[in-house]
Amino acid sequence: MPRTTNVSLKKSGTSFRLRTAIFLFFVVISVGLAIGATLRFGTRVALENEIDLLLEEDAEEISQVLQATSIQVSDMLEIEWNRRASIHELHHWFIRIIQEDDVVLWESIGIPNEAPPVHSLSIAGPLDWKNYRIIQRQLATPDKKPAIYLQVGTGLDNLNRDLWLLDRLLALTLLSLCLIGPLSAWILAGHLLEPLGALTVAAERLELTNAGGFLPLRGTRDELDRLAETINSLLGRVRRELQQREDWLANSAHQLRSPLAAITCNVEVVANRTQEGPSRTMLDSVLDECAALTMLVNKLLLLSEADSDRIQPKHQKVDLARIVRQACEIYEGLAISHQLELQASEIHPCIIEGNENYLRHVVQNLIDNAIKYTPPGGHVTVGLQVVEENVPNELGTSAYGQLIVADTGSGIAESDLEKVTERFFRADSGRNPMANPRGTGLGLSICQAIVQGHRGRLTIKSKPGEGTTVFVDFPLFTSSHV
Amino acid sequence: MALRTVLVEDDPSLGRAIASGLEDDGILCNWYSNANDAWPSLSQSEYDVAVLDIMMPEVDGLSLLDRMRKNRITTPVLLLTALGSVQDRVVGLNAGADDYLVKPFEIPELIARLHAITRRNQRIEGAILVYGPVRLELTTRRAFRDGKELGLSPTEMSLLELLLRRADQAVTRRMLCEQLWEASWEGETNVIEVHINRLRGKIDKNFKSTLIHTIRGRGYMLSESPPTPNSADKEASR
Repeated sequence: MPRTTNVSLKKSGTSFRLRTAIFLFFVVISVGLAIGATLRFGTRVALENEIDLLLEEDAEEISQVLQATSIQVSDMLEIEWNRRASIHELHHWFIRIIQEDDVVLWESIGIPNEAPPVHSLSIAGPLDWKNYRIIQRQLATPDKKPAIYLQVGTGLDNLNRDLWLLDRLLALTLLSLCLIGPLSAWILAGHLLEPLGALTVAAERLELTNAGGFLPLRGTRDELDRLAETINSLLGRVRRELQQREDWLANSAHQLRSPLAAITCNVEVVANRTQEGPSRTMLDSVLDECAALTMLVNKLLLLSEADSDRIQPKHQKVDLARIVRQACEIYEGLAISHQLELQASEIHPCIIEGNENYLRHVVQNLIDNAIKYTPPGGHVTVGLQVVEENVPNELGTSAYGQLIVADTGSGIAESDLEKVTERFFRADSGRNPMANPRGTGLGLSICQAIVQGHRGRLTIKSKPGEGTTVFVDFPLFTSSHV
Repeated sequence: MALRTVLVEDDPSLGRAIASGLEDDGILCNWYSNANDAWPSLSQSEYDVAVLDIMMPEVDGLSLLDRMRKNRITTPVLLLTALGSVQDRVVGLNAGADDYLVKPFEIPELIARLHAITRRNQRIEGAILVYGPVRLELTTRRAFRDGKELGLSPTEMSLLELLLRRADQAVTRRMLCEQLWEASWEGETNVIEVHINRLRGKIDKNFKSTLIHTIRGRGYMLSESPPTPNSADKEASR
């Protein structure tokens, strides 16, 4: 059934693309975030290391000088260090020499407003102190009791400004990723799924006939090629199976019909040569039995044909309304002879796709059944309408043609309702004692098989004692299938 | 002049029955049980129509038909087959056959088709069909007997039309079915019988003579003289 699945295939294809696109987008965004974070962290560490190295060098140099002068800051040193501080003013570079008890022995210009106390810093390495990077060292003072510390620090304003610039750049990049990401992910997903789409299009064109073709292999030996190979091999098996069925069908048709033809013709000739009398009556009843047997054989073959999908509608436009009107006209006489009323007022135009002969069979069979199972004085109502639903139904369409055949007959017991489309099922005993003894119990199963062959749906609603209504829904003919 | 037919049918029982049935009807029939034996007769093309079975051992009916057409033998051909799907029908007619009959069939139907494809014994396809006291105007869809309008329904009109066209010949239920809905119908209720009875009620009731006769086991016949076994069909072919 290529067209019913058509819709759902395309739908799931789109959502698969969407899912792939969303997945790709999240991957891109996470990778972007990870790279940004690493970059920022790395840059900060590198810049800090650079600063720390300079501070270490300065601290080493100054502590050596102080050791040499027994921690006496001479005027010359004061001028020198202040000069250095003023040169590095933009970096907020400073020197402090303080005792353990935070008594400042000397400090350069440019110290922070709030200078760090000795105990707030460890001597292990450079540390951050309120937007400053400071290194603290204990000076070797064996004679003096309170320990003396040297602090060399520099402001982090420049570093922070650089990092902020980097942050801004990173944010800008991420923002553009967010904007371009979904679009490119969508395009990329479409590109990735393109071979799958091509495969789907090719698969839609496949038919079950032997000339129905196979899926093309791209020769890439990838997963999609393997999928195509798997489908092709399945297709081959299904086609062989169908071929066998068709052969069986042809064989059994021949095996059944040929002897039946011989019997019928022989009896016919003999009957025709026989004068009216007991012999003629017997021959005539043989002919009647032959006719009944012929009908049964034809029904069985029709059912097999329907089963083996040989009644695939050949994209043929069928005016269902015409068939229904014609059938009603023909069956009106039968209804009157059964003292029933056959009403066919609501026959709306309805064009579907399929095989006219088989559809006619369905319509006639349903009306025939309804008349057969309705007692005199009852009504049989035939209607045809186009039903539109907001949500696509199981036929895959939101609009479909609906044939309704309702009777006021004896109805079908609930326990039998599911069985009436079963082959050879007959509920005559419970339905109508006047039921046709020639009935085969195949009529509804044939209808069911034909309706399914037309991608339709047959539903039966019944209340014992009130009547039975049969609904047959067919997808409407759409021009795209031409 | 009697219709001359050649029958190629491998089933001896069926072949003999068809040949006898046709001869009972005044139709000359030469029956061969295989294609090779039939070929000399077929190639002389002294026959009006050939009836070929499709499924035969060695040379099948379609191959024989193909051979005939390649040899420019234009004798009309009716194919007999045990297959009956739409597809097979198309294959048969595409192969150049003039008609196609699915087994099992009734002999009157075969005869009617033979007459139809040889364009013999066919009544004039005019707008007005007349037989004895019955008159059917196809254009206005009105039917009369003895000048009195009958008031037929479209279905009854259609059945009467076929009976008139094949007056004095047996018309089977299957042929009437095909007249009504362009395809044979295997319905369980006898719709045809009902309509024929209704037609009888209008055309024969209140009139002196009966026109529509039932031929038991075979079908119906519109005739001014009631049919008797073995004589009705012969009369029809004259």
